Amino acid sequence: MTYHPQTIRGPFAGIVSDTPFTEAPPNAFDDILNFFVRKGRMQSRPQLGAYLPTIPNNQIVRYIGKFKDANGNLHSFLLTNYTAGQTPAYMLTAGPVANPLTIPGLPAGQQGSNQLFTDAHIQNQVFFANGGYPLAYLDGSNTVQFAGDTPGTCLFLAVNVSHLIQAYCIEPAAGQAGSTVFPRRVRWSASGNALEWNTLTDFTAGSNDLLDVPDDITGINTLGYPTYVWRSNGITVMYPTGQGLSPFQFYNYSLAPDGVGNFFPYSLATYTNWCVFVAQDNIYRFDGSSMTPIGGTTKKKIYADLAANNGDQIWGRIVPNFTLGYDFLCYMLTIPGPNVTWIYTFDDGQWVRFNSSQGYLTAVRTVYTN
Amino acid sequence: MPATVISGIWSSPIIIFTGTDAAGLAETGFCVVPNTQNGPITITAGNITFGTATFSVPAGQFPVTLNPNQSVIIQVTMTQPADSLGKIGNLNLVTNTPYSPNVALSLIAGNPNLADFFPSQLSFPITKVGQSSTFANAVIVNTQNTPLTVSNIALTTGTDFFIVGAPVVPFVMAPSTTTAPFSLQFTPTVVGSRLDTITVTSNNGPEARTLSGGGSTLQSAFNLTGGVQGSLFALSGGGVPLILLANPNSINTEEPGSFVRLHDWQMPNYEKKLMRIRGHYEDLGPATISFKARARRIGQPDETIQANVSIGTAFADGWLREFTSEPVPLSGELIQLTCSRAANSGPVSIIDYTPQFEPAGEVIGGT
Repeated sequence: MTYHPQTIRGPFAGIVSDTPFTEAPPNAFDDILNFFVRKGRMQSRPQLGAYLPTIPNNQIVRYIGKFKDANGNLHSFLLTNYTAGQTPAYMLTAGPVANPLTIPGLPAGQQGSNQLFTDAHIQNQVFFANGGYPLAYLDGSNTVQFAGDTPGTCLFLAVNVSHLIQAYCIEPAAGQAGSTVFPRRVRWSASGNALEWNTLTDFTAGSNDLLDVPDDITGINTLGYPTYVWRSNGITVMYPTGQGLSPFQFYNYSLAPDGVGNFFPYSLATYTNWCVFVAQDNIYRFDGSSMTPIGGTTKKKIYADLAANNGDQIWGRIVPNFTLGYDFLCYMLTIPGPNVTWIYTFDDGQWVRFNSSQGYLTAVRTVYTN
Repeated sequence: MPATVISGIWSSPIIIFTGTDAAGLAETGFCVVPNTQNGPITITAGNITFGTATFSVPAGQFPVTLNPNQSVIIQVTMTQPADSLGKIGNLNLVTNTPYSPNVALSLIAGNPNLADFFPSQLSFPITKVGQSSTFANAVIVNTQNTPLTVSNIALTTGTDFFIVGAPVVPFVMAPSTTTAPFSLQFTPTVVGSRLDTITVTSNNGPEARTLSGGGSTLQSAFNLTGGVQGSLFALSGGGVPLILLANPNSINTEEPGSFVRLHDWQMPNYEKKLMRIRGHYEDLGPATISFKARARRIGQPDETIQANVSIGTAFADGWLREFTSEPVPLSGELIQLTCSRAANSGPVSIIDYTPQFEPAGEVIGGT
């Protein structure tokens, strides 16, 4: 007897949740977990094996990075949660070993932080902040250093025309006497000197409070020529002017209280001159001129997970590969609570899910390991 | 590339070019032109009405449409003339309305320099005190129409920057010729910003250029060779945070995985009896997958049938092979099919799969 066949073959359409299954493409799925839609195949994802079974101070790793220092040496580093007095930074060496970096003396009252980090690279140094310690940087030595006369710290960092830029400032740093949160402040260093923030010492440093916008800063990145200051429901653009006294002009794309913005602060992920962020209504790819919604017909499930977030912060990252042998340009959106990472593959334009019995993902990066 | 439109009324009625270092080289300038009208306008063309020998408008910027209260950034190119005289020009923008703004164009006199030195400025990276930067190359260009005699090439202080392989002076350069490249190197003697000046002296006088660099005392620690890279996944852990390393050569996932789909096989209102599942996979090594079929009826427990299928061989040669599940007879109008694999149960790379079923009459009710 001849049976009725219905072949389901690639290119597979990923997870479709927004339409009844009868309207979904025949090669779509109600769920895909720990499988990747990749190169026309439905593949189990790469195996994750042991590397560092514990983290010093038993703190959650918030950021994994790499850089080349001024002497030309390569480094990989971890940034972790920290309590006051603990180091937030560790250098990786072969073994593997997470080597703690020493920190400068702290002012009275200084607090630690469990926020996610943002970083910015300038002049062979990595500056980082997470709203706790004063703005700090790594230069390849065995110490963490604070960024010159920075008035405090911030949540978000970017670089444009040789200025290091802080956004969502906390001045002085958290816990110090008089510490105040400025959720709409943008502050830039002197040109070419990320350790100089005093406008009286160097007039090319400065700051601007975005007083005419209705919402707080939730991220910052530089895409090509301008720097974009992301807000919950809108965007403000910083255009370099070329004038030392006033190096940036600010334009608000939108002043409406509702609109497209980076609603989940650390969902903003930048890759070359484009980025991905999660707004209230969709997930967008933005290239400086146009916004492309990429949530597709998977939004229902993703936003259900976003609504169920609890216990920790949502974050996103664009990953080019899992080392060169496994190309996989994707946006990874991790949602603690449901403890799931939604993965959008740019080659296939589909969403799948990742999880682990070891908890939720807190950082991911391809770095030097030897 | 189309001209860029920005919000707001901005105006720069003149573009001033400072000139390039040699005749024939191009310099790009920008102007901002507002739409000051009450309705939208479309700029259809930008014409150089005079100064066409020096100024031009790069193609592809037009048409561009501006709404009221918007401005546009227009690009203009200046090509350095052979003489050192100033030049002026005018850019006229043509729109679909009588509005036709003009932008003045100006090239400052005095360029190019006669015995010119390329690049016009040299900035060296931050370098550890006592160590040397990589070499930076430079050349001297005779930009005039007569021979040029270069009598000296010298640094003002010469403590941190060095000239390597410069031509022996004096020498004569024919018109519009360039010397062979020679090198400059930075070896800081102290920490901090270091400056020097290189001066090329010719029969037209001295021509000076700034050299800059920074000295550091950085003592690198915890260095890596960069010979090996790995993708690290940090996880919250069960109270003990940890980091795992992705293996790009193995998809034998350490966690269980699955993909799920509810089927009616485009035959609504008919019972279907799922008989078999066939498919193809890429042989990456032995693995086990499981197909679970589930049907549901009101008031009755779910009907489920599961079949494990061994796939892959020890050859792991990437060959496409076929699999066939054991017969899994199960009936329903809607059948949910789950393909899953257990943790560490082998690499799975499915190319396609085909549920095979028999129609079994109209649904009476109760699904």
